[in-house]
Amino acid sequence: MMNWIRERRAGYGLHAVGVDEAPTLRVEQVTKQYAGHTAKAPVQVLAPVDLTLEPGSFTTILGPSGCGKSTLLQIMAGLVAPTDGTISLDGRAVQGPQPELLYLFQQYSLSLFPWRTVLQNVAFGVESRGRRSAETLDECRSLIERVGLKGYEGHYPWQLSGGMQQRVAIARALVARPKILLMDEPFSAVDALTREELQDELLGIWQEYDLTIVFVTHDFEEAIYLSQEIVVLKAHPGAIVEKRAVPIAYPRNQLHTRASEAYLALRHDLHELIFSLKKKPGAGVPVGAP
Amino acid sequence: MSVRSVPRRRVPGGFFLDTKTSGFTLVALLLVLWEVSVRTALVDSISVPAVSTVAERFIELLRDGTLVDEFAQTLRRMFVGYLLAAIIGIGVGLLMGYFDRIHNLLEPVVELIRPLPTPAYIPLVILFLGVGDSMKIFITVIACVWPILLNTYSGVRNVPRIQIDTARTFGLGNAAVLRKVVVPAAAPSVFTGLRISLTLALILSIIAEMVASNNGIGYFILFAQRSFRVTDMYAGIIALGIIGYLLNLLFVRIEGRVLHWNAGSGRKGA
Repeated sequence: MMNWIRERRAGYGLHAVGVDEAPTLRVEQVTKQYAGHTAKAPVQVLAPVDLTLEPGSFTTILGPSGCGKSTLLQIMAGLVAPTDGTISLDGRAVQGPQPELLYLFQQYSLSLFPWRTVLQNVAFGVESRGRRSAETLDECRSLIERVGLKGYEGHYPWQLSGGMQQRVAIARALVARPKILLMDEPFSAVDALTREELQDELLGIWQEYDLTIVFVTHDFEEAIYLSQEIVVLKAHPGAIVEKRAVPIAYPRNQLHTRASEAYLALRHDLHELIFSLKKKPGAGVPVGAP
Repeated sequence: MSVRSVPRRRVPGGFFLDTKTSGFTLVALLLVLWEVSVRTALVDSISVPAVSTVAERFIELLRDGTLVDEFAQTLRRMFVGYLLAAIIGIGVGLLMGYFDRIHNLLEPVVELIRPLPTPAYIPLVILFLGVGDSMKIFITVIACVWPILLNTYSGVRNVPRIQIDTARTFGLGNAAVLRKVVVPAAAPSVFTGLRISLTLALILSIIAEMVASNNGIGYFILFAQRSFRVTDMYAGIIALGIIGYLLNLLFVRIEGRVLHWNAGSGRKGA
């Protein structure tokens, strides 16, 4: 897998320049505890987690609901402070939201601003970085076109379907020129056909913009289809149980990829793994409990 | 609201009942009833003059500028008070909604002062400010500030967490989040407070004028009654009704323009 990344970047000649390259995102010994509601002892949501995300990689964090995968992603985004451990970009420890990173919410319809049109929502991505001008508005327009929403610039979010709203959220994120995109189950609420469309568009965008993508999902088929590496999390407390490379080349194809032997073999393995994790008993384990 | 997807068979009177024609006809009928009952001496014409007499006097008072002068006084004080209340209410409401510490500091004071009916303050305020404009403006401010403040506060509290987090992921600081996200998101709620207070502003201006004043429409109505100019009193009340209606109409227009985006999203189910 690493070879593939190197080849791809070598092809663009980026490794030599290193200017536009995404930083390496490193998660080191990150834990999270929340104060318990019933129990007096705090609940451990994440056991120490270590994860390294190479520039240009596509990694999926896979796990059953309640395993803390969203929390982990929000910690990476700087929206939630870890109880312990560090997040670093190219070795520089960071706290809070960073300009290189953008987090896409699962509830995209709520993350769009209802008082702004599609164009104005996308423009939010540049305004916030203080670069709004005539050129950046053109940039917004071309991104809206890129995600297939040409002609909808003047519409308000409530006038759009769920899939279209998600496209607006993606365009708004891209216009801010992030290097790393953190996506929390972005396609879980759209219909199956739209999901496949959005998956392929996301892969196209990933390659075109040379992004690092961290994708959270509970759908292991989606994880295999999209990513280079799958990180499996278990619950109570959330911890990495397995990392699997996906031995399938890009570009991927909804029909052929999903019918390939490598895909089916991995699907089989992950299916067994996830279900074995689900069977294990697991209430919230208080910290310090025997 | 007539929701009709299937064309109905035309029935006689369908137009009359399906539009506001029926409502306006009722108003006309009530006016005729008023006129007739006075003319036939069913009611005492000293305390109730005929509607035609009132209308005549109304036009006279409008022509000679009396009504215009009185309303100029009332509306001037009312708007100064309303504007001050809006500035204070929106400002403090935003701060209380956005900063927990300011909420903790001010909430007990707000909850202690708010339940007192505003007219109860009038004697007290007269002690400090006399019976001039400043007393009436102050009373209007006290009455109007609470609905604006509380609706602004709850509007800010109900801004979806996710919208604020979205802005934060784009690197916005506290002040920018307030300006670009919290204020527009809370605007519909702020307008609800402003609408309630607009009614209160008119009510309190009139009450203050009736208690202590020598001008304004509230004074005019009360003084007309006390000097047995009953027709003038009725003309003043009707003029006040018309002004109240026009103020609300103006408000709805402004609200619709500012919150045009809200037409579809906020009131989808309404």
